[in-house]
Amino acid sequence: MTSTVTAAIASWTKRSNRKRALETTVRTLPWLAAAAAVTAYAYERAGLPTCAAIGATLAAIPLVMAIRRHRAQRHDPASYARSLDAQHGTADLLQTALALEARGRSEYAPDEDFDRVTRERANALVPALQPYAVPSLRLRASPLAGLSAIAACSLFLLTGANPHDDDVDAGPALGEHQRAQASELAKAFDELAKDPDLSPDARAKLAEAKNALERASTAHTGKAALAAMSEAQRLLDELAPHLDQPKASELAKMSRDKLASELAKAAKSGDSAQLAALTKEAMRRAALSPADAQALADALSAAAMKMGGADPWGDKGLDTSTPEGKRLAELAAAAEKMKAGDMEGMKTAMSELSKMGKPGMSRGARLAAASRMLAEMRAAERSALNGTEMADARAEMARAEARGMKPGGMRPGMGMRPGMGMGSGAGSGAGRGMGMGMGMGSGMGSGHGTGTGMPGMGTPSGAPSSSSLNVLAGAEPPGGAAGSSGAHGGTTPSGAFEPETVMAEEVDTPPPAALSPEGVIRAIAEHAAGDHTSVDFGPVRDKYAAIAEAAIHRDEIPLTRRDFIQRYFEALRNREDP
Amino acid sequence: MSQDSAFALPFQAPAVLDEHALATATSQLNTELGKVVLGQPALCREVMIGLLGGGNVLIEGQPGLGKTLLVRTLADALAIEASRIQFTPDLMPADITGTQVLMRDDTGKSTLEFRKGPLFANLVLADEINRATPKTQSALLEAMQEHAITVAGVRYQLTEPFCVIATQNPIETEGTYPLPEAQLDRFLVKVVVGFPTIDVLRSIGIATTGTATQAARRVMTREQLIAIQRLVRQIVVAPHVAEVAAKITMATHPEAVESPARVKKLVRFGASPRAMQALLLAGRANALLAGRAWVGAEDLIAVAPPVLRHRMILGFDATLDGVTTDALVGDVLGTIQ
Repeated sequence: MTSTVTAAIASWTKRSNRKRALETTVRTLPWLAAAAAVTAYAYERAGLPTCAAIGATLAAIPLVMAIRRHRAQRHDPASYARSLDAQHGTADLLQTALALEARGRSEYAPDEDFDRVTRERANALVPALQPYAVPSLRLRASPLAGLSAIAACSLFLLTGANPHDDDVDAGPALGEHQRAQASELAKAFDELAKDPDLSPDARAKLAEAKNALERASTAHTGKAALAAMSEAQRLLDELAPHLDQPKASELAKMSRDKLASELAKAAKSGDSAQLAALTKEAMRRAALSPADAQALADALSAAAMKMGGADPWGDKGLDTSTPEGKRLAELAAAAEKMKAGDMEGMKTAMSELSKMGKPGMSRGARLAAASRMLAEMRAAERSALNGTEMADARAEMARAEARGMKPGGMRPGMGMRPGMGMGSGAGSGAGRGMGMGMGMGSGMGSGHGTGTGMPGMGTPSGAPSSSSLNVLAGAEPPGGAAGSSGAHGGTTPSGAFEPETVMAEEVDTPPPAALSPEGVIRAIAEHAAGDHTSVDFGPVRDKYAAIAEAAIHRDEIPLTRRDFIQRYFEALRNREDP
Repeated sequence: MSQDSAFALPFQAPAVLDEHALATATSQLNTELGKVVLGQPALCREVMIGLLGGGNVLIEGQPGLGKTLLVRTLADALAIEASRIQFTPDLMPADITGTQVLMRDDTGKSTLEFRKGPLFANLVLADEINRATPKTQSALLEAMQEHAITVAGVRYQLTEPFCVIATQNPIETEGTYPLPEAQLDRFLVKVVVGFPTIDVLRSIGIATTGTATQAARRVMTREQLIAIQRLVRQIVVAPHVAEVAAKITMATHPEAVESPARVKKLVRFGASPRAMQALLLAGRANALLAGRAWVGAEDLIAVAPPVLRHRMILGFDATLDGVTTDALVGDVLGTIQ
């Protein structure tokens, strides 16, 4: 007798187990779908590590339960035969036949005839049996699983859903406005790269940043665009230290000859930022002592002559027919006045020199402005990926800066400064105004400004108590504003975003050697003492113009706001010297 | 083996398990018993299981339920030698086994001659067995277990088939001697005769109070019965069925882990290994009566109550709680199914 019963039941067992496995898998799918939805939600909200942990846990639970369930339901031939016997009421015929066939010659009955009869009965029974001893497949999902899946998917779609661009190829990920900004930045990088003083490494970084921006413009997914912009931002951050303006502390450490040489070099190149910083440092050193003034004057004179190609022993002087020559001649004139002890004349000449710089920003400032613009683009794109609106992104940037954070990374030194100054306000254009104020170091002070589209002066009040000077920079409502504080929201050359706040910066005033208050401060002090005498407007304007110029180039004043500051002082000059 | 008997059970395999023939034989036996013993089909079947299994049967029931009638009818239907012993307190062992008597021949020589007692029969009805003294009851032990009797040092083999069918009254306790556990264990099954229904009572009243008397026909010879008893022992018992029998037996022990809670609490001693043998033997007989060559777990479950109910020794708490062995057997079977 062939092992028909064993073969048939073994075959049925395999089919039944496969069926069970399919059934278990199908029943597990809703749970896995729920786990996937929750995992996706976690990925959107909490990042990859948390998402991985949650996903692994949520996937493991239904899988383990499914495996346990399948193992509990899994049949071997004997248990399958028992199920068939119970289902068909065959009184353990199939299971007994399996045992007889497994043992070969029967050891369970002393008569082979009974063995044979039993097996024959089983073989005769097999074709008449339904092959499945298990219930038919029912693809039912438990209500709890279904509800979980629906809840998880709804949660994902309603709160965490962000239709990623990965799935849809719908053209560039960046909007038209952002692509225009990227193009503008690329042009700015080209302009920066034209600077002859730029090192090859810096040019290479600028080129790479430009390429990254082009990739961002053509990227088809938001993530890819964001990654490209991040790459460009990283390159700009690496480039920034090479283009930064010298700090005041660095200038103070500079040797006299070096200072003279740099000043002459700046005068020749016309770098207005360098000129402002170096002339300020030169005036500070000249005020220390007459001996220092004498030595510095000699060094400046020699440097100017050398830079201008003049022969100090011959008749050949500086060529004043060119702008470079004029600036060098002004530097030489300032040196002569310094040497002669005419400090006021020296300051006037230095101020004139600083104003003779080429219009426009320094390369460091331009790079910083480009970096800010890029940061704004990144923040906007990130917010778009997270489903927030553009206004939210801008507000988030403002909040980040208020917290002392620069988009894309931490940046200490920014933020609120207690005590706002007082000052006069001037406006230009419709709804635009400038505020300049002076205040107490402790933060006390008051002031207001007015502006009606025309340059205007505020009425200062309050008394200064220290040498600190607060410079307000930023766009103000009509009439200007004084005494406000906060952080600016940034702006772009294209004017994409308007700043909502202004930023106060502290600028060191000349040391106690010039203890007598000057300009407005002195006027305020004398007015308060009832001993006010008028002072010429020109020197006061020049002094604060130099201070403002130094401040806007040294610190991160919004790019477009620098124009306002410069135009403000230009306007003052025009009014005085029509 | 003759094929012309009333009980036309063919003994040559594979036709031996011809369902029609077996069903006919079973039906004939049941018909003959049912003609006389009215309304007790389960009783008849369990007695047949004990008989076909080659064991002894203890029938317990109130007086007047037809216990003796059943045994007499069975003896008539089987056409075997039967005897009846009415157990009384003054019944002596020699009264049932037989005794040696002094006999004098024609020459005047006296010799001791063994005179067989009523045990020398194929079917022995031990009526009201619990009325005899333990001494007399014990005289049955050798005959029941070994189918032999030893008298005066001489061992006499009883003629096969040998079956003791004993009856006892459960409600009369005065003047009775409960059977010892060792002797109870010798009974393959213990059959409890239930009270008949009102319809059966009406039929009994009409059938037994008239002039007509019902008598069973002889449907099976002695040789046929022996052959069937041998056939029962050839029924296939697969390992998983034997395991079920072992589990059932083990679950009757209060110290067993798998035993149910009431068994742990109320049972003093569980069933012996002989009980498991009895389970399988009775299960085989049940399978044969069902026309099968193999034993199923349901056969064991079907025969478990009559096989185990007299083999479980209950504690005093069971008596207080009114728990019967049948209820505990039900608990045991609940752990198996």
